[in-house]
Parts: sequence; structure tokens; C-alpha cells
Amino acid sequence: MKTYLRVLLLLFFCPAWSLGQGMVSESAVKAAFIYNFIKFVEWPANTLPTGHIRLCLVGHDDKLQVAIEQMVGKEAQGRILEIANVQRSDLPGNCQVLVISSNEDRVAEILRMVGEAPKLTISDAADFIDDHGMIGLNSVDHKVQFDINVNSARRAHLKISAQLLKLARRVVQ
Amino acid sequence: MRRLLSLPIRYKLMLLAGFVLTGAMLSVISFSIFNEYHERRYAIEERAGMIGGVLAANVMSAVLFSDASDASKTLHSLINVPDIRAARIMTSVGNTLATYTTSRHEFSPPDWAMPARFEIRVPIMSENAKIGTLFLVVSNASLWQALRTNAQRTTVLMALLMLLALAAASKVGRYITDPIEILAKTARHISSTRNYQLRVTNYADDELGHLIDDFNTMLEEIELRDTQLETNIEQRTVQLRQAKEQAETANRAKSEFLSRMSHELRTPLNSILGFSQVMAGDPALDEDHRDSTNEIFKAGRHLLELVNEVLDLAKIESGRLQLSMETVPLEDVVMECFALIEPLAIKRNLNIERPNMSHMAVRADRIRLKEALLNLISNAVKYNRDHGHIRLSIESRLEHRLRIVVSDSGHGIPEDKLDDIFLPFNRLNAEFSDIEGTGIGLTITRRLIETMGGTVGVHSVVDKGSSFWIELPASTVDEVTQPEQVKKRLHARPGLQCTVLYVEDNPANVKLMVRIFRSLPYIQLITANTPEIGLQLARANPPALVMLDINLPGMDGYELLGRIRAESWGKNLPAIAISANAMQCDIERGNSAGFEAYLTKPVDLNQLNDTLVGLLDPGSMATEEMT
Ligand SMILES: Nc1ncnc2c1ncn2[C@@H]1O[C@H](COP(=O)(O)OP(=O)(O)OP(=O)(O)O)[C@@H](O)[C@H]1O
Ligand SMILES: [Mg+2]
Repeated sequence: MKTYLRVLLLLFFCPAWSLGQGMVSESAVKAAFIYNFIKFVEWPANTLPTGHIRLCLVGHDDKLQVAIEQMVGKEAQGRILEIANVQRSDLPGNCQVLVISSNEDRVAEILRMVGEAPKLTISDAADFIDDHGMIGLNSVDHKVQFDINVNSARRAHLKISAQLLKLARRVVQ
Repeated sequence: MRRLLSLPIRYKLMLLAGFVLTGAMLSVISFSIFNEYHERRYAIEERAGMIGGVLAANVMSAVLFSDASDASKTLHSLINVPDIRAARIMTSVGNTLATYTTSRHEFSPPDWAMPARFEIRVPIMSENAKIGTLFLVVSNASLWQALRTNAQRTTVLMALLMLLALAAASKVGRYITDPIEILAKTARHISSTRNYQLRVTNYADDELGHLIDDFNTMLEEIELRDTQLETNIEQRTVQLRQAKEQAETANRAKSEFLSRMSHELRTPLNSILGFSQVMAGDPALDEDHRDSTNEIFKAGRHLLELVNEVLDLAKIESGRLQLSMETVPLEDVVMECFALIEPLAIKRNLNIERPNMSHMAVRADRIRLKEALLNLISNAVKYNRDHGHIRLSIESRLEHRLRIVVSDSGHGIPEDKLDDIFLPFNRLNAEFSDIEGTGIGLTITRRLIETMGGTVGVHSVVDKGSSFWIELPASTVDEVTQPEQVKKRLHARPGLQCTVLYVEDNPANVKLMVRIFRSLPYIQLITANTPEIGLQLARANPPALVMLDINLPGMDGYELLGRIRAESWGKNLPAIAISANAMQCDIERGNSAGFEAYLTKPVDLNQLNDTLVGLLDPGSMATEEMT
């Protein structure tokens, strides 16, 4: 009975935890998302290094960088998350996840440079997935959402979990 | 407890079976319910756990991305799992991400049962880290429902089984009780009917079967013993009957012998008596010889009496005694008896007391009753003291009987001798006194009265006196036939000496006549029991009068009268016929045959008196009133 009551109370007075309460910054949410995305992606065999997984940040978004740096040392896919700042010249570079900040104006070029290398590409730039990016982040009314281009991922031989797909706002096949 | 003990064995068995079964069933039911509860509970938990696991995996991404709507959607898939009433997802920081609840969850749990629902928690894991918890509220309703149906089903089944078991117990009980009941019934039947041929059928080879076998063996033995006993009894009965027949034959032979002997003795004795009397009457005889002749006469008379009584007794015992039963007025008989006994009583100065007995009568043979009564009265006289008294009284007894009591003031009879005096020849030492007697009077009295359907008894006090009584069925006196009682007695005028000859073969009649004539001392009565002796006696000493019985052995009274009339002394001799033939034609024949008078038996004293007076010496004899 008590359990039942508690369920009811929770239902009415504790609505789902949402963003935009001013409690957590948008960058932090995005960083958390990025970290979580890694968990739902399957890299081709032997493409992941043992021990760590490296995330490369392209462009200058200090807030995002700070937020992502919070994730360093966490585990994903059984590996420790590492972070590296890379220049456009270094691309494609030795990293498994490529996060491109929205203030980077040559997103298309970067993506072309990465080509079909097995790197998960994530960006909060507008229309990112239409530029053959894999996961695009955007926030609507302070609520962070994401779109996925399964096609791009497939070309890079990456497999995105259905669990993630079902949460995506838009999925391009 | 007492009621329980008195229940038939069959019911006890059923009760026992019922108890055991109920116990077994209750434990089986509770065990099965307990078991089922746990199994089902475990199954539900397992299932819920599995569903929870799947759910947790499915909502993992939603939790990671805090996607409440997706989490809700996923939880909503629980709608297909009715057991799970509600669900909730909590993030690791303690926020509720999504909840799910059924619309029908407001049912109330059965208050007697365990919680109707329980909660399970499934951790939501990502990359080995717990990112939240899935709470599931699982309903027990299906479990309880299942348990309930299960319990109902088991109960019904068990009840059926119990009925079956009780029926079986009853059946088995019958196997035990039926033989016992049959045994008991047979035993009861046998004890009431004594039919030892019955057997109990045996069906089984168990203890009861052996019991029945033993019972049957016992019955067989009893039956065997019974048949042996019966044959033994039969044999004994045959032996006894033979012995009895032998004894009876011997007794008959004895009686026969006695009666023959007595009869043979009587004829010569009569001669002796007659001739000694004739001799004594001879005036030429001197005094000494007369005394001797008198002694011969007395001894002979005693012997004759003895012989007559033995003959009587033999007759009674052999059943040859002929009785003519009639209404006998007591007044007559008693009067006659006392008339006979009076001289003796006067001699002993006895005081005689007699009540008025008119209109009293009994049913008896007149002569035999008189004989019996005479015996009692003469005993009362003989065994009395001088100046004593004799009292005769009549009592009415039950069943319309009369008791004639003769009491005396004699020396009495000791209590232990009272039975002996009725035995023949038992005189209680009187034989050593000078009191005359043979010791057979009371024997005959009792036999006579008993043959007439009466009883004889005695009551006696030593030195005070005795009371002998005769009891006979009462009868009413016919007023018309009762002759007028004139109390008279024979009276002879002194100086007249004469002889009367009486020819009669019946000793009782002779005895009576002798007693009658005892009161006539001047008439000498000479008796003869056959016509031949009578003729001889008359020839030797012609009498003044003859009295003849008609039915005589050898020749009848008429022929004898003819012979007498043929003799010179008998031409004008007065003759009286005394006969039991009382028909008018008989009397006429007697008168025409030459008898001066015809008297019928039983002889009436007055009539005899008148006849004797008229024939012997008209005018010389008179009648005198008795006082
Ligand atoms: N009234 C009596 N008082 C005392 N004794 C009696 C009396 N009547 C009978 N007895 C005893 O009983 C005995 C048997 O009597 P019962 O009449 O049979 O024989 P009896 O008188 O001796 O001889 P009889 O045969 O001539 O009569 C007698 O001998 C006598 O001793
Ligand atoms: Mg006597």
C-alpha cells in the first residue's frame, strides 16, 4: 500500500527531470550526451585501441571543451576516455570520436577530410547530419536533442544502437 | 466417552479412519498450498525479475539521456503484463524519470492474506555503472486466485477421497463386524431355542474365521454330547419302564395270590365259625366245653375279619373294587354307625357329641363310606380313655366339599408316627395291648375314600386326643327320597333266645349285619358265605329265621330257599330276601317265590327292625325311641 502510494505521489509531484531549470548548463548537457553517445556506437573490430578511447575536439568552444574535459577519465566501452585538441591540419588524426564545435565554419571540409575513416562525428552545428555528419546536437527551448545520420555512420563502418536511434529527434537513413 | 465406547465397532473404525484421513488431508492441503504459494511466488518474482531486466535494459538509454517520454513509452509496454500493477524509474540522483500504473490497480487485497502485492527493484546499468533503478509493483492476485482454486479443488478432491475412504472403512468394518454379528446372533438364537444343530458359515481365514471355526467345533461337541445324553436317557427310560412293569406284574401277582388265598380260607373259616356257634348253642354242652367253643368262635371270627380285610385291600389295590356312587345323607350313615358302636361306648362310659346333620350329604358309595366312618368311630372308641368323649363334627371346605371329623380324648398319636398308622398291619404297639384289631382299618379307610375321590387325614396331640377326618365332595339331599328318620334301635325282649342264619357272600355286608345284631344280645346271628355252608349249618341247628342274599355263588337265593323249603324244618321257616336288586319286578318275584319279606340294600335299620319284630314274635318285640 505504501509502495503504491509512493508511486502515486511520485507520479504527481515529481515530473520528469528536464533541462532549462537553470540547474545544469547546456554545454554540460551536451558533454554528457557526447559521452553517452560513445556507449551506443559499435566500432569495427580492431579499430578501437585497448585501454582508452580518444575524443578529439575541433574548433574553439571553450564552454564545451571545459564540459567535455569533465568527462575525461570516465569509462565507455570499457575504455578510459581521453581528450585531445586537434587542428584542422592534423585531420583525420588518431582519435575515435571527433567533436566539431558549432563555431567551426568549415565543417563540410573537415568531414570530407575524415572521409570514411571509422570515426564518430558529432557536432552542434546546424544541419550537421545533412552535411554527412553522424550525430547532430541542437537545443530547442533549452532542451538538448539530437539527430542521427545512419547512412554516414554506416559508410564509416560504425553501427549505432537502436536504443540511441529511438531517442533521436530525426534519423536519416 | 461412554457414548463413544458403546458405538458399534464399525462406526469406531469409520471414526478412526475419519480422524486419520482428516489429519492427513489437512496436512496435505496445507503443505500443497504452502508449496504452491512458494512456487508461484518464486515464479512470479522470477518473471517479474526477467521483465524488469528487459525493461531496465530498454530504458537504459532513455535514462542516460533523461528521455522521460521514451521511458514512459517503454514502461507502458507493461500493459501486457497484468501481474505488474505499477512501475517507476528513478535515476541515480534520486529523480523519478517515469512512472506507469494500471487503471485497475485500486482493487483491495484480501484482508486475511499476505500482502496482495510486493515490490521488486531492478538496477538500470550502463557500462557496469548503475544509472538508475526500476521499481516494479507486482500483484499477488493471480497467485491468490490460483491458490484459492487450488485449495477448492484439493478440498473437493479430498472430500471425495474421504467419502471413498469412509465407505472403504465401513466396508472393511463390515468384514470385521459382520462375522461377529452373525456369531452373536447365532449364539443368541441358540441360547433361546437350544438348537445346537446350527452352524455359522465361515468366509475368512483370519482371527475371526478361527473364532467362528472354534465356535462351530464347540457346537458340534455340545450336539454330540446332547445326542449321547438323549440315547442314555432313552435307554434309562426303557430300563425304568421295564423295571416298573416287572414290579407291577409282581404286585399284581401278589394281590392275586392274596385274594385267592383269602377266598380259599374264607369258606373253611365260615364252617368253623358256624359250627362252633351251633355247638355253643347246644344246651347239652357243659360249661367248660362251652367256653372252649366260644374261644374257637372268637379266634375264628378274628381270623375271618383278617382274611376279609386282606381280601378287601387286595381288591382295592388291584382296582377290582366296584363302587356305586350316590348321594349319601350324612345323618343316616352317622346314625347307623353310632347305633352299631353304642353298646361298646356305653360300656366304656364315653360321652358322644353329634351335631345336627340333616340336609347334609356327600357323594360316595354308601356301604364303603359307612365302613370307613365306622372304622374311625370304632377307633375313637377303642383308643379312648374311660369316661372320655367322642365328638363328631361337619365342616364345609373349599370347592364344595364336606369334612367329617371324628375327635376323641384318647392318648393321641406322636407326630412322627402319623404317617405310619395308615400303613397296613401297623398298630403302634396296640398289638401288645388287649385292644382288638388287625391294624388294617385305617389303610382300607384311606384307600376307600381316595378311590371315591376324597381324602383322609389326621391331627393329633399326645395325651390330649386325635381328630381323624374324611373329606368328600358335597351333594344335595333329595328331599323326596329321604326317608323319615325315626331314631330307633333293635330291642329284644329278655328271655327270648333264638338263632338267625344269614347267608351272604359279601364280607362287608356280613360284617355290617354282625355289628347290627351285636345290639340284640338275645338273637344269635350265624353267618354263612356260601349256600352249601348255610344249608349245612341250618341242618345242624335249624334257625328261627333265615336271611338270604339273592346273588350267591353256586346257586342263587331262590334256589336256596327252594332247598330250605324242601327240608322238614324249613317248611314254615320265615325267610327274608336281602338284595341289591331293587327293581319292582325283583321284589314281586321275591314275594311270589315264598319270601316273607324283601329288603333292598343298603339295609334300612328301621325296616329291618320292623320286619324282624313282625316275623320272629309278633307282639313280643317293640320299638323304642332312642335318646
Ligand atoms: N383314635 C385313635 N387314637 C389313638 N390311636 C389310634 C387312633 N386310631 C388309630 N390309632 C392307632 O393307629 C393304629 C392303626 O389303626 P387301624 O384302624 O388301622 O388298626 P386297628 O384299629 O388297630 O385295627 P382294625 O384293622 O381292626 O381297625 C391303631 O393300632 C392305633 O395304635
Ligand atoms: Mg381300627
